[in-house]
Amino acid sequence: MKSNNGPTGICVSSGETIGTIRFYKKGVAYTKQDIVLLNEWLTSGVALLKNAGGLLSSRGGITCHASIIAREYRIPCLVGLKGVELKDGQKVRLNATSETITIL
Amino acid sequence: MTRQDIIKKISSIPVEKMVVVQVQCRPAEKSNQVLVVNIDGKKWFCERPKYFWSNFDRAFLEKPYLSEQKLLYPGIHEPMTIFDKRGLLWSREEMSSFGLLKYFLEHPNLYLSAMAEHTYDAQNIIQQLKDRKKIWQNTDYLAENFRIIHEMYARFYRFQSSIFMLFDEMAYRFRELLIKYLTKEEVNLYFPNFLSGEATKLALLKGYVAERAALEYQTTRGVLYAMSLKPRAFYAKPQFFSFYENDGEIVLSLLAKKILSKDLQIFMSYRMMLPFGYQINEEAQYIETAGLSAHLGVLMKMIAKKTGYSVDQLQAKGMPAIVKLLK
Repeated sequence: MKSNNGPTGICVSSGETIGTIRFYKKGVAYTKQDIVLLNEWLTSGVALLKNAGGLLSSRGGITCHASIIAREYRIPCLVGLKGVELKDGQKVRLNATSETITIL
Repeated sequence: MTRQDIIKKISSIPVEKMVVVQVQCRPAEKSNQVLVVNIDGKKWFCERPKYFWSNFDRAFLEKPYLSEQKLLYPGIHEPMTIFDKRGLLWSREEMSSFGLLKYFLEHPNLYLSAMAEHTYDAQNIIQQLKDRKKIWQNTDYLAENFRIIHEMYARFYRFQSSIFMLFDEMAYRFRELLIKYLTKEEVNLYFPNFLSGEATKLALLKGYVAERAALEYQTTRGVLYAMSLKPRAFYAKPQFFSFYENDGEIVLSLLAKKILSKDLQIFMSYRMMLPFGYQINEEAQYIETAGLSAHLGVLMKMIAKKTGYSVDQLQAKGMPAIVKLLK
């Protein structure tokens, strides 16, 4: 079990969830078990992810419109991710409130 | 120095020779670079170096910028906002996001009164758009509608810098202040409250968020940048005061951490300004796009059809020529 409790990103929507990392693919229907990792932090992408369990991106900031949408959906979410290498299919605990991702 | 002297001087400096400052409040992809030049002992800032405004855009924007300066700094008569010959917008420190934030933190009451005035203007604009819905595409009213939308822009942009420029900096600095005294958990359970409002909720419900998202890929800005959107008179009334469940806990925690009196005063200013500022910023983006820009787009297409020029050609001709053509 590998754990990463260092600073990982900026919380734009608080909350905690356990799920599987999924690299974002357009058109896929994600569920509450999926923590979706997006390369681009755009409203057009986030607006379609209402049912995701968590959202992550190395891009974006607290006032981006995409962040505003994530907050309205109440999905735990970190943006501006740094120093975290995540793999598609990895099981993780995302605690957006404490800004940590723990690989399970 | 006159306005023309400043324009000439800034325009003569090549962009690659200007000082570039990186700001933290916006991520790189949203342009976190600010250009800085020193003219006659005064610093001038270009906070959106990727936006080039055409003469046509400036005919809509220049007067409101002047009016904002007069409203905020009635004692200063030298120009504080200009467009250079490239179309870049420049502000003196007082009218930059940093200067405005400093000013409003000291006078949060002035921020609230400015935003209240803007709210009144926004409601009038929305009502006017609704009232004129039936005659918006009537060629008999083309000149009148064009004059009216020009006036709407003038009113809507009366607090342009205070609404659009200031917000990212204000939110970022408030969060920084909270981080200085509180745990991450306390900050993250409190701060997101400030960035939520009725306009976003309603826009999500009605599907307008996805519509507006179509603009994300546009690299240029201008008064016609949202002309592809369906014109809408969409509005959600902002709440002047907002209350959050954990306000009391946060204040107690700040006091327990022995927050400096000066910082507590700054906290109170942010606490008062940010929730309203957020809602105004969100609301303004819907009015600016589906409200004003999309309605102006309809008119420009109609003028193009009537005169035989393309919309691009009309823009290049400029506002006085369009007014003349409509007469």
